Amino acid sequence: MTRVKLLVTCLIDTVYPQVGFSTVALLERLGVTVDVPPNQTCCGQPAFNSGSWDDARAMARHLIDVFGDDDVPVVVPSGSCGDMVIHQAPHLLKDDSQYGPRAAALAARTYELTQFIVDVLGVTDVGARSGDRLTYHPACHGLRGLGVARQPLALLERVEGPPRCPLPEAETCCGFGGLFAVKLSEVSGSLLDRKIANIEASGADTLVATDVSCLMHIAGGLHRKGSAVKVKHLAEVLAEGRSQ
Amino acid sequence: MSTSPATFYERVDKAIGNPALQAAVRNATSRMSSGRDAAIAAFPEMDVMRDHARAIRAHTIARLDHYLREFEASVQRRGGHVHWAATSEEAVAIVVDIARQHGVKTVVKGKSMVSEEIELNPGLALAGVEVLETDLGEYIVQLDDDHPSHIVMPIIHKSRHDVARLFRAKLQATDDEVADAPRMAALARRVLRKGFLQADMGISGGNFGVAATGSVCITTNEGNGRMTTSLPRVHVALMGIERIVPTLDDLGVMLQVLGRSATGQKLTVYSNVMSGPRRHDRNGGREGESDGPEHFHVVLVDNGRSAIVGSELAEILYCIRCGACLNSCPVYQQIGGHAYGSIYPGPVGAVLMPALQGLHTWRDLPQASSLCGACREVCPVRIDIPRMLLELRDKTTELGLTPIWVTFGLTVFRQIATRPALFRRAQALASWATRRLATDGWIKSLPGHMARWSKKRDFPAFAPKTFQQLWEGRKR
Amino acid sequence: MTDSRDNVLAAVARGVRVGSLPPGASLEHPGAPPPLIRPSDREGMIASFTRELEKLMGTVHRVADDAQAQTRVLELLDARGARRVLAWDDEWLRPAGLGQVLRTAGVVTESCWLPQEGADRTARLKALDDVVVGITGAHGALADTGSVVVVSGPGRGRIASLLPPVHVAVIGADQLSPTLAAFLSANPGVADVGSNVVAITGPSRTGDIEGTLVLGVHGPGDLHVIVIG
Ligand code: SF4
Repeated sequence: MTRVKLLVTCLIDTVYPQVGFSTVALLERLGVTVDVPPNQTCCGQPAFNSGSWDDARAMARHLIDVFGDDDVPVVVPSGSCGDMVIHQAPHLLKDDSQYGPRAAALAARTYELTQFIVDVLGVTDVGARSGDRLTYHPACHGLRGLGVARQPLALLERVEGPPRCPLPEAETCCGFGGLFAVKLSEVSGSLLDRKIANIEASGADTLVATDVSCLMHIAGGLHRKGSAVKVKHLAEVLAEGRSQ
Repeated sequence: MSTSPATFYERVDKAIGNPALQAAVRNATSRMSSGRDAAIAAFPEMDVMRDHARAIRAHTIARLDHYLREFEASVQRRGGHVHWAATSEEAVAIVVDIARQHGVKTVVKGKSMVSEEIELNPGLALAGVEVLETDLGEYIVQLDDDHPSHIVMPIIHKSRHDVARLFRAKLQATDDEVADAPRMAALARRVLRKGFLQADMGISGGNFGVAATGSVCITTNEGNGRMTTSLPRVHVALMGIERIVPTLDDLGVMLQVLGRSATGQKLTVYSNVMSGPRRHDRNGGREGESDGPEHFHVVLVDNGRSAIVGSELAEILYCIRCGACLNSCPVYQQIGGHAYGSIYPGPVGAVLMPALQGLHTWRDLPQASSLCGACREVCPVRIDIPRMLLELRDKTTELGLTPIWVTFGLTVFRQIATRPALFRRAQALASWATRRLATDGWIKSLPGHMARWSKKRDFPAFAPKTFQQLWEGRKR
Repeated sequence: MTDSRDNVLAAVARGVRVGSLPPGASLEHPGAPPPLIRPSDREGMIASFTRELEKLMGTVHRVADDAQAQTRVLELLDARGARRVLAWDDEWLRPAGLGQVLRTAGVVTESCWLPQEGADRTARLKALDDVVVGITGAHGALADTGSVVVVSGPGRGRIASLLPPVHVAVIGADQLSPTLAAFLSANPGVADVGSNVVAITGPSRTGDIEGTLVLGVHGPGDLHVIVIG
């Protein structure tokens, strides 16, 4: 039986716990046993992206301690946190004789959720159905940082229900970028406007992505505009089984 | 460097508040991006070619001192002169000196970002030398006392109406002469042609210098590059010291990725390779070359580059100035080039400006990115710009230039996030606070610095219980 | 500024020596470019050359022999009412004898020779300003990109392919190379042949004003390549 450890991410933990439960339900349906190592906090990405690398290092070390040194795969339902663990933490800690090798080992056994399902489990049809008209935003860090492009699309394609709605300019950033959305709020905001215009043009009633940070940003913009379009993490869509 | 006095953030706000500018920049960048994408889709070898192009640039920079010496010796062997400028002031002085030495009164100039960087035109004007920019876009920029806003397409911030207005005011153009783009280009051609025919000296940039052959290569679509370097008696090529490639074969590789990435062309119209001055026979008679410049000078400009070699930003020296990263950058697309306030705008500028001139002046540019990675994806030599933006942000903090609310906030966050019990209490507090501030699950306006978030988007109230709390409950 | 030379080189050398190599950088030269597989047979190359150049709004005239080439050049001149051309010296023009044919037809062939001294040079350039057609041969042509490669030299002035608004290049089909890389590897010493090597890929163009394509900004906006054979 496959066993994984879930890196729940601070944002899902704090703001969107249902995404965490959908992830667990989905993995369990695929026959995977999910552990959630206790004492998870934040992977350090906000500090890393803002140039506070000492702070980021401290958080990355904490994360490494939490996930230990076994060889159980770590699954993370977020492209940007995945990129942090897989690419950035090893870079940050490369001169740390103790944590450097551990960061590299953790990186080697960490998978973004769709990567794990498609590439490791070899599954694209997870038995999901959705009554929603779905459109998909490939969030930047997963897409370009991790190169996770085909996996979410393959999974979405197999979801039963109305045809997917192609998103114009899908690969253009939604403008989130962490503190970027605060520091350069206007620029970020005009990218958000553009993303929302494209979402509405797609004709979808639900926007799907694999990063809750971008979803939080886009949902905040949709709500401000009074749009009826909902947002969902891909795990939530995939967790809706056909039998239900 | 002539930055406008406004701060970066003020310039950004100004750009965002100018829908006409945004539309112009969006149109131009999307046109160039789709041109690039189509050219690359039609070139199955692009990926291996990019790898090879990167390997050439990486290798050259790793042995730059060697190749610079070889380049110098090769140029000299051809009868050309090589000048070294450590700073922009020196570079300007060298060019002024060459002009004096050859009794030059008028100069025609091809497009050169280095000449913008060293502020050559004011320097020449001061020395009494008249300079005419000959690239159509650069000419328009010069006529309007403006700055280029893109490294390949200098006037994407201007509409044809802007150009028409300018030509009427400065060239006394008739309505018919400015009726459309072709007629405006024809008018400019007439004016510039006079300049070409009588100029004493031509100044060009240098896309590449070929070490083995002592050649300078410039690429232009209009042909002004060829005019500038063929008609006047004297040719001066200005190049950053990093612009070297080892051989002509290597040059061939670079040209193929450059044209496609810049404008979607397989090759730029004129890939112009110049190896030394006109070659005369022994007594200057008709056995020698028919035309070409009598004097050939190359000015190698350092101006901060040598300090980048071997640093964690060295990759930016691989850049071949194709502009693809500007076109693909969502931030550049929204604000255009002028908002950066720098010679080199966009993603490449956000690394290059602080690398060349320091973070004290350019600390804001590395922040102008959502780290989406689009620039890295299109770069023909696969420069990892986001990685270097992050390095620069780290440096910014080290130098104490990051705003205190950011560093302090993150240090507090770290203290909390490395203590799980404390983290749980902070989560509970945040949940309580956000839910108090929210109506129907959404907060309309956040306090403090976060208020800027609220300009465009609502913020969600946090969940009453965290995932980890609920998970604990489920286990029991 | 000899000091600057030494200082700059020393600073670069220091960076190279003490710095770490960025990812993928090697002290070894990466070697020959990856091969491009393109048609290398005569018909395939002519077809590709024609397609590519015409996409760029250049014109390709394929003719069977020298006589047809001469006729085609004269037709192009007649169509433009050109009685004066700026041409390479007779010995470099293709087909052989073209210069004489032109003069016999009453066309004045101007030489590309430019005086060295400033005032004379300017006077000569001004005298050539209104010549409508430039006629050259080429050193080679690139099938993959639709380019003609023109190399300067004695009797082969740069200005013939540059100054007049119309450029007519006459080449033999045997001069085609499949790609730029193939041309360079077949002509490793091309930079020794002349002070200027230029690959001309289509007519002069600009998109500076709102991206509107305009041909013939500074260089020739009307490019004709006559391919013999
Ligand atoms: S960084 Fe890369 S994409 Fe940007 S201008 Fe330079 S070569 Fe082009």
